[in-house]
Amino acid sequence: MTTAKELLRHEMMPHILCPGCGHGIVMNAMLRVLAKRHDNLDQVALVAGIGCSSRIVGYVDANTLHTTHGRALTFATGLKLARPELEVIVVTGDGDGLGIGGNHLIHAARRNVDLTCLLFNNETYGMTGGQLAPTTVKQAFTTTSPRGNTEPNFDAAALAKAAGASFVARGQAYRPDVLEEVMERALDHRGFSFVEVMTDCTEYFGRKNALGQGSDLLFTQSRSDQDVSRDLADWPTLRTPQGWQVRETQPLGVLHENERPTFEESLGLPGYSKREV
Amino acid sequence: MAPRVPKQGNVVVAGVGGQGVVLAGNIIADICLSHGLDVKKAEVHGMSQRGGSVSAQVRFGPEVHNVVVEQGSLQYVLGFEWAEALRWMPFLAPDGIVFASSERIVPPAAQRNRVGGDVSYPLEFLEHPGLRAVDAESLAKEAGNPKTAGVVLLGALSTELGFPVESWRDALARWVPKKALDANLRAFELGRAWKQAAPPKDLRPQRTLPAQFSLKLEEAWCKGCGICVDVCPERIWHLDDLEVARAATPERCTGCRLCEKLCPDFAIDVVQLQEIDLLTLTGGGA
Ligand SMILES: Cc1ncc(C[n+]2csc(CCOP(=O)(O)OP(=O)(O)O)c2C)c(N)n1
Ligand code: SF4
Ligand code: SF4
Ligand code: SF4
Ligand SMILES: [Mg+2]
Repeated sequence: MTTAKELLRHEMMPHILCPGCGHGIVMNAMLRVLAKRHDNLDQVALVAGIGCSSRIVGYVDANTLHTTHGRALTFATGLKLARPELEVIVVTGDGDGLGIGGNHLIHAARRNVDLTCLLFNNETYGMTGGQLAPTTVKQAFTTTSPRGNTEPNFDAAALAKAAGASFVARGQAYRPDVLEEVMERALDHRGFSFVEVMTDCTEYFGRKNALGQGSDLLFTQSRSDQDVSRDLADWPTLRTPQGWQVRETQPLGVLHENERPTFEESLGLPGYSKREV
Repeated sequence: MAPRVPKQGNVVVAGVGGQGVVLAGNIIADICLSHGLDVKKAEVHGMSQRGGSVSAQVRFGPEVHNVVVEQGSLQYVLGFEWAEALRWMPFLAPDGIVFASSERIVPPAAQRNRVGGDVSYPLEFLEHPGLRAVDAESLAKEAGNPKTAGVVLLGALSTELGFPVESWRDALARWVPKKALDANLRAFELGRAWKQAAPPKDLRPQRTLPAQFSLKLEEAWCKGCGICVDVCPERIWHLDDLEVARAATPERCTGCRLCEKLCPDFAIDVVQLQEIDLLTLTGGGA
């Protein structure tokens, strides 16, 4: 069987992510899922925007497109229409996919394009120095919210569902097995599959909110065993030393799934039916 | 042979959260008290993210001052979960006895549900003459309630500890909910029957068993984040002076793969070398 490691571009490793960056854990889970499904990634395309999260596609030995900030879904839609037989996965960040690229997200969901969008939500703009993102929870500290964020944040999964995504799920770096299962189901689903993955920027979000680094930060994602055994764990309520809540409680797992015609089907696109899972 | 009430002794019950470890400790303590012994009991609830370890230590005798069992003096271990039981092996007296459920529970970080899992155990312990694996899970199902696996182990312990069997049954009746008592008493009997039917453990020197897992590290990729160090339930990894991960005791690897899955840098490979069958190896199969 292929291993996750075998799907890397070894000449590019080690990757640029900071020590302990949650994106690496999510990438690891993603490659384990792909390794289960494919011997090689010739029929898989990874399309990314700009950001630390988007950067990971450069390390994967698949067809990869590193595009412009926020536009990964538009490139992916074009690619999908031109090469409907490919398994297309969009790798995006919360800044990339919900900030500058938020508009593309709702339209890809509305059209029900048959692709899988993995949104790495670390509640910040990691690559540019830890600025406030549309996903930063209230009161959290970022480079641009030095007195604590005053804005409410997006619920990415709820947004995708409302916009028409036919599959919506949420995973977490801390629970790699739940994450793998959710990703597998997202890839199996025909139509727009949206997976929000809660992960962590150790360098900025973790440091600025005194959540610790490495495993300490990772463990802030933990919740009680009962929640996990119901396959619906929560994002913990976590407070800064000042007593402010910086981790909201959010459900994990598959949150929504329905069947409706995909964009490709509505177009009557020839060759589309080749992508049989 | 009429059971002789022991003068003094100690028992550790080890498992994970939700298995009834504390309750089992209470039952044992209660039996000791009912025979006029002095009892000290200590409980440890681990951090749930590290595997949810829970243990109860019970020491009894004419007069007990210290709650904590010393290394090398532990007489009985009841392992409600396999890896948790093995954690106590270093405390065991040379003639100590371990009854451990062959059930293996993956630590929470990796789990989907708290069932099954790809976890094994260090080999050095398997050869300990006092260790027996029990398929307590199946016996508990046979008793009509999967939650009674711990009581199966209490049944096994009752054949060793010497208190009259009625004391055990009475204590069970005091501690378990009324509607579950019948299943618990059945589980208790099944545990006793298992112990009485189990053949003596084959104590001939075992052929040396090769390690089951090998740990490979891609040194140049490791960034020293320390995640593997903290997530490994067996505490195998540490960071060296150059902040590179090192496996100090690779032979203890249980193959849970937490380190491999949670390393953000793809630096760790856990390679399975071979599989072995617990029940056969420890003479626990009926
Ligand atoms: C058009 C444009 N505007 C701004 C930037 C600067 N920029 C690069 S990455 C980034 C934010 C990335 O945030 P996110 O998608 O959350 O990725 P992360 O680094 O947090 O994984 C920004 C604003 C850019 N590259 N292009
Ligand atoms: S800046 Fe933050 S998101 Fe980017 S690699 Fe470093 S830890 Fe990860
Ligand atoms: S988790 Fe990976 S990168 Fe971090 S210290 Fe361990 S081996 Fe190194
Ligand atoms: S070394 Fe890794 S696979 Fe082995 S027990 Fe530790 S975490 Fe599990
Ligand atoms: Mg981000």
